[in-house]
This record gives sequence, structure tokens and C-alpha cells, in this order.
Amino acid sequence: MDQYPRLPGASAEAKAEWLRAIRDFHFGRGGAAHPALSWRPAAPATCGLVVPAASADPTAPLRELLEVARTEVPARREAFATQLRTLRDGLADLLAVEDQRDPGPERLRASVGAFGADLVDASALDGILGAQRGSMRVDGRRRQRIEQALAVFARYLDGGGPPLLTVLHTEAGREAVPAMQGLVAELAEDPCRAALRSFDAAAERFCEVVRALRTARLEVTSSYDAERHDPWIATVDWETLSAEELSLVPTIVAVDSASRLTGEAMPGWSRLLASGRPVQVLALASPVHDPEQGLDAVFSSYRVELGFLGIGHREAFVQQTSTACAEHLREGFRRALGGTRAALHVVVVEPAPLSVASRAHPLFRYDPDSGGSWARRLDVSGNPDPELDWPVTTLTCLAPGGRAKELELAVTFVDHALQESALTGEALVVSDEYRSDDLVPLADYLRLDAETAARRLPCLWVQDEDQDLHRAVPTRRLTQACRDRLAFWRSLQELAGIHSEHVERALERARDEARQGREELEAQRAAELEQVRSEAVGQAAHLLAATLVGVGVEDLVGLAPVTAPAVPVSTPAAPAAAAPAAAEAEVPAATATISSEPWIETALCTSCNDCRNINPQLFVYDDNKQAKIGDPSAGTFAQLVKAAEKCPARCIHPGQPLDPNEKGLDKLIARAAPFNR
Amino acid sequence: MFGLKSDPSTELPERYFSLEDYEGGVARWCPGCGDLGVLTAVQRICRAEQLPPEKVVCVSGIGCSSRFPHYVGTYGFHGLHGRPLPVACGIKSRRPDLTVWVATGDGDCCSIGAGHWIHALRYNMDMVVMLFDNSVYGLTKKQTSPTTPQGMSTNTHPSGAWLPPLDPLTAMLGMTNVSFLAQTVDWNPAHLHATLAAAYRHKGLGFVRILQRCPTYSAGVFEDLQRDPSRLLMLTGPRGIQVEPAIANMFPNKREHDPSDLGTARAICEAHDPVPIGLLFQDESRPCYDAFTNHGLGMPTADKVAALEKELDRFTV
Repeated sequence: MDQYPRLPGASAEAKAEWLRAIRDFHFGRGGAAHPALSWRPAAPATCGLVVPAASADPTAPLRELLEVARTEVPARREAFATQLRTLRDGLADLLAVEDQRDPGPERLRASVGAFGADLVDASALDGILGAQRGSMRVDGRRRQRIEQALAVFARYLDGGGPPLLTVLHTEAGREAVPAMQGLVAELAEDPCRAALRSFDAAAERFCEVVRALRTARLEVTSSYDAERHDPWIATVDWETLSAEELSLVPTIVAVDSASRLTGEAMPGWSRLLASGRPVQVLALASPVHDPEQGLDAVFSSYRVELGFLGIGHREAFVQQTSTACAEHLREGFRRALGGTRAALHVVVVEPAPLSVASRAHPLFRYDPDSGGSWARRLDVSGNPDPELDWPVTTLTCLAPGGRAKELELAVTFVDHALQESALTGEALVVSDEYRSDDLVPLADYLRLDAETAARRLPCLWVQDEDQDLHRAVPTRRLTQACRDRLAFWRSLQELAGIHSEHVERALERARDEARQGREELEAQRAAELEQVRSEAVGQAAHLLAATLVGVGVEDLVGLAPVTAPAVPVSTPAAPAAAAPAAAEAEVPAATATISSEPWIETALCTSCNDCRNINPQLFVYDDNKQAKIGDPSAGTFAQLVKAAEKCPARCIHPGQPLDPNEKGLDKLIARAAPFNR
Repeated sequence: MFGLKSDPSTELPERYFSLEDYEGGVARWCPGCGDLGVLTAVQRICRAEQLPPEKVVCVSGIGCSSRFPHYVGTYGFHGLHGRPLPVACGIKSRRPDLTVWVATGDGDCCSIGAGHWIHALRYNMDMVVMLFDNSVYGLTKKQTSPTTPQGMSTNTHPSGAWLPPLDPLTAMLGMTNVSFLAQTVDWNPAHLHATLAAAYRHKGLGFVRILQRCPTYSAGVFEDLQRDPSRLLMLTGPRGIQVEPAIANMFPNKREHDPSDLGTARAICEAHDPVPIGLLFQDESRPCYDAFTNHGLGMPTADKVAALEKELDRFTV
């Protein structure tokens, strides 16, 4: 553990004093003024690896959502419109036919023209045409239904369609809303409550179209039954829509800040998610906090997990993502818009994925449509090194001798937190002159047991403006916040099936059982081996003894030791031959019995009806319209023989006569014989 | 909210079609006629696929087998002699949603309708054509048809048919754009059913020649084949007609055949003996003319009327 060379001049007392000062700072008891510690502009060494210079665009999440809507929604709407157009034409044709049914003399006269009018008596022709019979007429109620449906179709098809996204936002959230075509923004005091109302209004407008659609489907096939279908059509609301129809209801988006949603706006979005209405809630989170909030507010905000609260609603789609992880963000939007559930998107607006890498805002997606278990629903893929506590990154630095050296660093929550101006004083750089094994890298420190940790201090590597590396010690409060983030990350891991303790316990149990089974088997084999060995030795000794005393091998049977194997050395021939004979005698002789029942090879029947024309009770058809025997007692043997002879597929086998008193049986049996073979 | 509200009325009433739904009038074919087995096979396929009867059209020409549409409970078109195929192509041109079965006989298809036969195969529209080949004109009581065996006595050739018969298989294997050609026998319902089902599944024109017994006017033409199954050559293979092993075992003479091999298919057919049954040729990549004739199907009625009027305005009376 002697990682750092000791300063030659530092006395034990001086080192103890320095350590006391550092501990005081760590535990918040002062000590910051001690020369062992200094504040200087320094950033965690890992940050240089992930932070670009550009700042994040607050409109990025809605731009992405709109882009996804552009690729998904128009095709769906067009397919639906095509469906409506087809039905509209069908209904229009129905009315056109109805209108032509009674043309009237005037229309007939016009249709035959001036030349024809002299040749054809239009009134007489109308009398003939009007007397036609046999087709169904459109009554008044039906015509009204059809005309209403046509009017709704016309409004929907000619209306230009609703916008792709209707965004509801607060005054503060205005900066997150881009001015783009296809997006309509509305100001609301509480966007989530307003979204609920907006959705209900939009859904009701769409349900009117669905009612017309369902009516039209029934009308074009002339199967509308007012008594049965009127109540059904009347009860159509958004909850009765099919998944496909529900995905066509205009998309409503409530945009709000994550801090507001975890505070005063919480009842609104919670009710929205619980309602099941497919509304999108966009919670925008900032990776840094306002320093004016005070440290307590900053630390407590880290403990509120908006995404996890969303998962608590169980049936809503929830994702936590970052604008710096565009593919993850887009895929989540795609799934949410393709589904029919309420969706909560917690999006961190940041230029680089440091909050993701430091597990401050780990990526996850909870999709109830993926299955019934946590393992299927929760997906943490997309996070760097998802199987580790902290992602590991490599920093190349120059060692004192000018030699390049690679330093493996864990990106922890502290690396992210120190980016916040409010938290800059939560870590101080330790003088390079102080070297001690008491300073343990933070990731390792968090793995220590409580007793060891109490004797150590966490540290992390920071870089100053000259890019020189120094160690810094975070306060206990910040360390505890880091520990809390780790605990949350481990919960996510376990729920997503990574390092699940249940699995590990089950594996251990299975290993134990396998080990135990193997040991038992090995013990059994060893015992058997030992037994065989001892028997073989006994046998050999016995043979040797017999040979020595001059007894012949043929006499060994009687002299065999009690431990000898049960199999005799030689078996007398006579008993061996007698045994099978006795066995044969016990088994009754097999007789070739042929069924006396009539039967039909049904699979070969060509459905020619010949047999059924003879006796439809004796011969019946199965589900495939192929013949089988129905009631054998319903006919005579003569009918069976006749059918067998007529059957072109030769698949009827008459068997033996059931009635021994039937006339002419001898001849019939002789005729049946070829079909019974 | 725990998922969408459960409301059984959201679904339109589901229909299930039984064999009876595909039955039309009582079949008036002669007792023991092979057509009855084909009728049942088609009805069973319709049931297995749950085809709504109003979405099926059976088209026929003239002949015994052309009574077929009357006995099926679907739409039907009993057309003119030799003309079932143009009617079927017309239907398929504008109603691709309908399943079309064509029933035609050896006289109807290979004689008076031969011109349409060639072109329907070339059009390769998505339908099943069943050639009921009983080697005789049965409806008109035994005249020589194109496939009547040489020497068979008929009313038109009492001393025996003079010419060698036409082999529809070798003829079709030489026609342009043929995409599915199979042969089966009516006296083995399982093979018949499997062959027609394969033709139904084929995208394009599935042509099945059915060796069909006529117990009245050409009785005995196929008796040898029926009594001695080794006279038949069953074509097997992973891409061929699949039947149960018990059915396959009824044919002692088998040969593995790749239906994409046109040359071998021709050689098998030209040998004439043994008579092949199974899938001779299939190529789903061949172009289907209905893909072209279906253009503009979604055109609204008003546009159609406008287009027609514009066209008619070019003429003056």
C-alpha cells in the first residue's frame, strides 16, 4: 500500500498534523486554512475527457421529438385517410345507386336525349324501371347515418389534419420550444393539467371520426343493425379505440422543468401518468443547479428521482436520457410515439454525457410493452460500462521523469458535481508535498467497509490550468451524495438484471448442489472401485490357492468365495436352453385377429357420395367431408358390401356381418372378402 | 389506467366459416365422378384459409367440370366455352382482393380455349387454374377431346381416336412466363388437396392438371394408374408437394425433383411413363400482369367519372 514516496524531511508530527487538518475539512470542521490544503481553480481530471466547449441547446429535445413524429406520424395518418377515402367512396356509391333506383320520367327523358325522346315513352319506361324488385332499399335512418358519416369524413379529409405536436409549456419553459412547422405551442400555468384537458378534447374530436368509420364499415357491407350497433357506436371513447386508432390521436406534449415537476407540479403529472392517456411529458433537467438555491437544496435535489417516481406508476413509459446521447433519446421518443401509453421523458440538457457517465443521471428506459418482468421492462443499455460501479477512463500523463504514463480513472459522481459552481468549495486540493496511504481513490474508498473507511479519506485527481495533476479531498457531505448515487445505480443494475443478488444466490445454490452431487458420485464410484478391487484380489487369491492345492478350474464354482460376483464362471447349457422354452410356454400363442367391424380409410375418400346415397346413416361425412362409418347397426351387411363395390377409391372395408340371420350371408361374405384384405 | 379499457364491443363480430359455408347447390355429377373430390378439396382449402365466401370467385367455361361454380357457395361465373381464363383475368385485373379459382376441362382449356390458355399463363395473374382432364368431352356424351388416348373409341371416332393425344404438361413447360405447374390425381384426396393448397399459396398463376376419372364416358382411362400406383412417379423434395409419410408410401415410385429445374421437368414429362405427379415447375420471380393492371385502383369515383368524360369528350356523335 505504499503508493507515495515519503517526503524525506517531513516528521511524523508534521504528517499527523496535516492529516488532522485534512480530516477536519472532510468532516466539515474547518481546517481549510491549513497549508496542507489549498483552493485553486482545478477541475476533476476526468472532465477534460468528456466535456466539449459548446453549450447545450435547450430546444434540442423538442426538435428531436418533432423529427421522430415527422418520420412516424404522416405515414400512419395517410394509411388511415386511405381507409376513410375507400369507405367514403363505398358510401357515396351506395347513395348513388339509391338515387338512380327511381330515375323518374324527367331524368329518363334527359338520358335518352332529344332523339330518343321521340322513340321511347319515358313515363312507361319509368313504370318498368320503378317496378324492380329484390334489392335492399336505403331507409331514412340509414341514409341519415350514411350522410352523417360522409360529412365527418369530409371534415377530416379536407381539414388539413392537426399539427404533429401540440406543446404546452410554462412561461419559463418557452426557451425550450423551437419555432418549427408542425409544432403548435400553447402557454399554460400547469402544462400537465392542461395537457390532460387538451388530450380529452383532441380525443373526442377523433372519436367522432372513429364513430363514422365504424358506422361506415358496417354500412358498406349492409350489416348495420341499429338495435345492436347504435349503443356500441354511442359508447366509443378514447378508451375503446384500438392501439392503431389511439396512435392517430394528435400528440400532446407537456413541457416543464424537472425541478418544478418534483415540486409543485407533481400532482399534475402523476395524475396524467396514472390516467393512461397517451400524453408525452417532457421533463427538462439541468446538469447544474442554481447556486442561489443553497447547498442543502442542491444536495436534496440529487436524491429526488423523477424517473423512478414515474416508474412507480407502473404502466407508463418512462425514460431518463440526455441530449448528449442522441440515439438513446431518439429511440425512446420513437417507442413512446409508437405506443399507446402515457410517457415521461426526463431529459438532461447537456452538451456532453458527463452526468450520464458519472451516474448522476444514468440512462434508462422503462417500457411496460416489453414484457411483464423488470428484466424485460427496464433497460439500462447505453450507459458506459453498465456492469461496473463507475465507468473507467484512461488518462495519459507525464510522470516526473518525463515518461508518459497511463492513469486509469473511475468517473464518479463527484467529478460531475464539482462542475457546479455551488459545489466548488466541496473539495480542496491537497498539497503535493503531503503523501499518505490514508488518501484512497474515491471509487475504492466507497467499496471499503465502514471500519476501514473511518480510518481513510477519499481523494480524486484534479487538473489545474497548467494541466498539472493534483489530488483533492471531497467533503463528507459530497462523498455521501456520491455513495447515494452509487446505491441508486446499483438498484437500477439489479432491477435490470445486472449483478442481481437473487441470481447470484441461486447460482451459488446450484453450484453447491452440483458440487455436492459430484462429491456423492465420486464417493460412490470410489466405494464401488474399492469393492471391485477387493473382490478381484480375493478372486485372484482364491485361484492362486486352488491352483497351489491342485484343485481343477471346473471345481472352482463350488469353492467360490462368498464375495465372488453373482455371474457364474460357466453356465450349464441345458438350463439355458430350457428357460426360453418355459417362457414361451407361459406366453399365449399370438393369433392374427382381423377386426370384424366395418371401417373406412377416411383419408382416401373422394367425397363422391356413392356410399351416402346407399345409406346416409350408415355412412356419414366427417369435418373434411370424407366418409366414415356412422351407426353400423343402421344398415345391413348387404349395403356395406354394395358400397364397398361401388366406392371408386376402394376405401370401404365391410368387415364381418353383425346380424348372423341376414339373408344370403354366404354370398355377401364372399363378395366382401376382396375388400377385407 | 391499467391498459386499454376492455370492451368486447370494440371488435366487429368475428366470422368463422365452416365447410357448409362454401357449399352451393347439390352436385349433379355422375356417381363416382372425380370432380366431387376436387370440389371438396377446394372447399377445405377455403375453410382452412378462412376465406370469406364473398371474397372468392369460381370461374368456369363449359363442360362437366364447369358446373363447378354452381356447387360452391361463393361468387361464380359460368362462362362461355373456352373462355374461363379471360373472365378470370378480368376479375383479377380490377379485384386483386378476390381469390379466383378457375375450373376448366381438357376440351374447354386445351381445344377451344387454347388461345386464352397460352396468354393466361403468360399473364401469370394470381389465381389457381384446375384442369379437370378426363380425356373426353363428357357433357356432350363422349366425343374425342385433345387428350383422348390414341385408339380410344368415342362417338366422333368409333374406331378409335386417330391422333396421339396432346400432353398439356409438355405444352405448358414450353409456354412463356409459366410460374407454377403441378399434376395430381383425383383418386388420392390427400395429394390432390396438398397440390391445390400449394397452388393457392403460390404468388402467380398456379396451374394444376388433375387426372380425373369419368366413370361414365372414359371409365378405365386411368384404371391402370389407379390399380398399379407404380405407374405413377411421385415427385418429392423440400420444395415439392408435401404429404404425410403414410400417403407418400402409397406411391412406390418416387423421385426427388427440384421444381426450379425446368430442363429436368421437361424430361420427366416427355417420358410419359411413369406419369409424374407433384410439383413440376415453380418460379415465383416471374412477373405477374395483375401488378400492372391493378394500377389506379384507389381512384375516387369522381376522378373516374371526370377521366371518362374527358376521354369521351374526344368523340362527337
